[in-house]
Amino acid sequence: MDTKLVKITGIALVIALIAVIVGFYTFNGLEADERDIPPGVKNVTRMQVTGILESNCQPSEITCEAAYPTGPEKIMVYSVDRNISEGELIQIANNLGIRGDVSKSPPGFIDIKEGYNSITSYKGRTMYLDETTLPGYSPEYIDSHLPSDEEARKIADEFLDSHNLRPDGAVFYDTTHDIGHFIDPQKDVKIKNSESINVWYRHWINGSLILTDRLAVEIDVHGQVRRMFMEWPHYEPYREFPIIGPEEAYGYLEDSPIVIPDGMKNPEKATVTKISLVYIDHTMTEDLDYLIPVYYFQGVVQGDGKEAAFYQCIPATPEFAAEIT
Amino acid sequence: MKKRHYINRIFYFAFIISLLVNVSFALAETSGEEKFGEYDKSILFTEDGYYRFPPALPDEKQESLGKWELPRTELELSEEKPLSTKVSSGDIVLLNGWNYISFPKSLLPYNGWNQAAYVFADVDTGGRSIFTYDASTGMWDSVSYATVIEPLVGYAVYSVGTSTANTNYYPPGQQQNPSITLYPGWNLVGYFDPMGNDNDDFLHAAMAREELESLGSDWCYYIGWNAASQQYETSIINGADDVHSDFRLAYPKKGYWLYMIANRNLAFATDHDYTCSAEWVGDYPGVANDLQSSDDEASGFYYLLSGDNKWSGSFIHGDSAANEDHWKDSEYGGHDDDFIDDTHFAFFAGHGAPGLIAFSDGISSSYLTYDEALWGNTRVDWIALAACMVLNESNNNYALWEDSFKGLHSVVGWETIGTGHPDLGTIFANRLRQGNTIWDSWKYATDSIIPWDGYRVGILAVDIDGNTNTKECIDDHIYGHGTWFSPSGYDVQFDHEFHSCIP
Repeated sequence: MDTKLVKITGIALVIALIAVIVGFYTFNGLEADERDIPPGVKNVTRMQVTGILESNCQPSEITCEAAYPTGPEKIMVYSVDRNISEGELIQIANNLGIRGDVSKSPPGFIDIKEGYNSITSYKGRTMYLDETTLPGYSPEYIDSHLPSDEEARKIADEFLDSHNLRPDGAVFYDTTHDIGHFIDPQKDVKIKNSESINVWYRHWINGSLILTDRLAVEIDVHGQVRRMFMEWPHYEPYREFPIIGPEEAYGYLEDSPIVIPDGMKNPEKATVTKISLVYIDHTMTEDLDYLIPVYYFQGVVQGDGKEAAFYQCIPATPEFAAEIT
Repeated sequence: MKKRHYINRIFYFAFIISLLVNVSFALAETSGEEKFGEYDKSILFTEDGYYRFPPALPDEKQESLGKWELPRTELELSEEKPLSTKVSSGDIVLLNGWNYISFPKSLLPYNGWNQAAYVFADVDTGGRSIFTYDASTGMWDSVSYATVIEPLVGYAVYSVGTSTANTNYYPPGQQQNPSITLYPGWNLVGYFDPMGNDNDDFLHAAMAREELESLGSDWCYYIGWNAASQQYETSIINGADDVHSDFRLAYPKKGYWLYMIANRNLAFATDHDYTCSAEWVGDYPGVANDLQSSDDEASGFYYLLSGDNKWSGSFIHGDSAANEDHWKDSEYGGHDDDFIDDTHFAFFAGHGAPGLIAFSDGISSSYLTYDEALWGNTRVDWIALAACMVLNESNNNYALWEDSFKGLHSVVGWETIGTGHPDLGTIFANRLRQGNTIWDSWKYATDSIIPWDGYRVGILAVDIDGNTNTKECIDDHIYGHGTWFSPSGYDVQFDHEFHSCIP
């Protein structure tokens, strides 16, 4: 063989070897900061947000000002039955005085409608809707005819109780207001012309909030119930699992993206202000077959010259979460 | 992670700079002269330089104006805006004096119900005849007792005091397609709902450009009559973009003078197929995270809605096949008139931010920004943007889209960041098909998929009459499934609402 060719081949091999070694270390270097996060943690915290530039929702710094909650070493995981049968929906409709025919449409919707009132069920979410068209109101009229939050709560309570719709354990949680405006851009006019109050209920199991169960009743300007939304599956005890401690969960949080509903392009300093052990039965993108415990971290994050709320859930049973997500 | 952070920043600053450049250009453009020029004005005058009034009624005198003089109603906007035009069974009310009216649907022929003797039986004309105008001869024709009253014909009726015409329309499902021959010069025509469906029992206004779309450039202007003030309204001129804008509305039950420059046939269908489209992006290069659910969101909406018997799908594009060009108006170099603006309901799933939605060709991202969008000037009526913060309330960011409304009824989207969820489009389309309003459907769909608190959605919809006590497009249903209102694309006013998704 030509000596020159052997030399060239040798040099090429050495260069290739160096490139491979450098590439190997470079690759590992990039990943060096990342902790070995159990798959179950990633699967639940891999929140899919659709915000441009919100993808990098990992703050540069995270601190904790919250006390770590004390909890059991083991906790019950529950199986979930979110099915609402046609019979159950008819019963709810009857309770509401809706006598229309049942219609089913793919992929799994059940509707009962009579006049402007309807009840709908899909994957365990039930909604009552009074679709009577409302006019716009003046701000003064709204202020004088919209019930107070306390009155709205009483109206919602009475609605649920009188129609036998209140699920077991439902406890008043909060109220929020949906507000609408009339806008005339040419005249630079913006006038409030609608407002309603959502009365929210939640429930707890073994002292832990079920974060993903929702019940809300919407009350309009005249104190009428416009809407009810309920997601309140049935649960059966499945098995007890040992759980990680909140300190360990916080460790995982430090390597997880956080969710900032109001959006923030460059989150910088995040401060955890509350940690609680709660249950969830779905992630951002899918329903789970089990009600699993998670550590729910809430706090404030600074960045872009503002401050916003954030939260994140870290599974308390990472291995089991990995199995089911 | 820090590397991504810096790239993210660079990307953000580049975006801000591009936004500033766009805004600067927009400001520079608006600071120029008004477009209303000699060409548009010349249409309003005869060759002799006198205002081109529609033909005077027999024995009535036309207002006299000097050379190159315009009536006041042509200098500032003057038009009658009927508040509600949604129920076909509504009476046709005539006010004291002359009225130019039309019949929005065919009348039943039984018992002479479609003849003038019955229809105008309760109208005291003060001894005057009821007239139609024969455009082929340029002569007025008196309506006889036996004259069959038809849609698309304009009638000039004098009423002593307020009176009501008798109308027994064919019921839904039995209407016939009307047509009328038009001649060069003045034609007195009746309004006909270009988008209504035979099975609806509702009447709708429509933009003049939509009403007269089939006439192309052969129509010049279109003038209504304000019976309350006994004056012509401000004319609508083909292609104008000021007070004469053809984005202004024409209304059911009114008669209009239409000036033509060619023979044409004006015809309408009483039944329509409505179309939807969807684009989604899941694969974003660089700093933006990929969205696993965009495909399912858009597909769920598209295939479920296009499966409705009134609706069909025009196209669904994903990833690199989706393109901001499909959402951008031709005025800004785009082709939305061949894509989303050529359909009635368009859905987008992907990344967004206040005033923009993001696309990707797999290598780099591109954006459709609010100042490149003019929606509804071809066809699109409703848009759903399943993208973050497109209707963000802080700093009134949602209002960025206001100037994009050129016939569009409403936009729904996320006020906060959103979540990608495979069921979103399916639930939304199902609610629409079940007869819920677009806003209620969006609220239900987003409530259903949101697992945690802090999320909000919004709607920006046209308020047609400027009356704060009435709402219009915010209560729209999709075609074939309930009421809806047609908005003007000129001097638009809005209603907006925000909803906290249920945690």
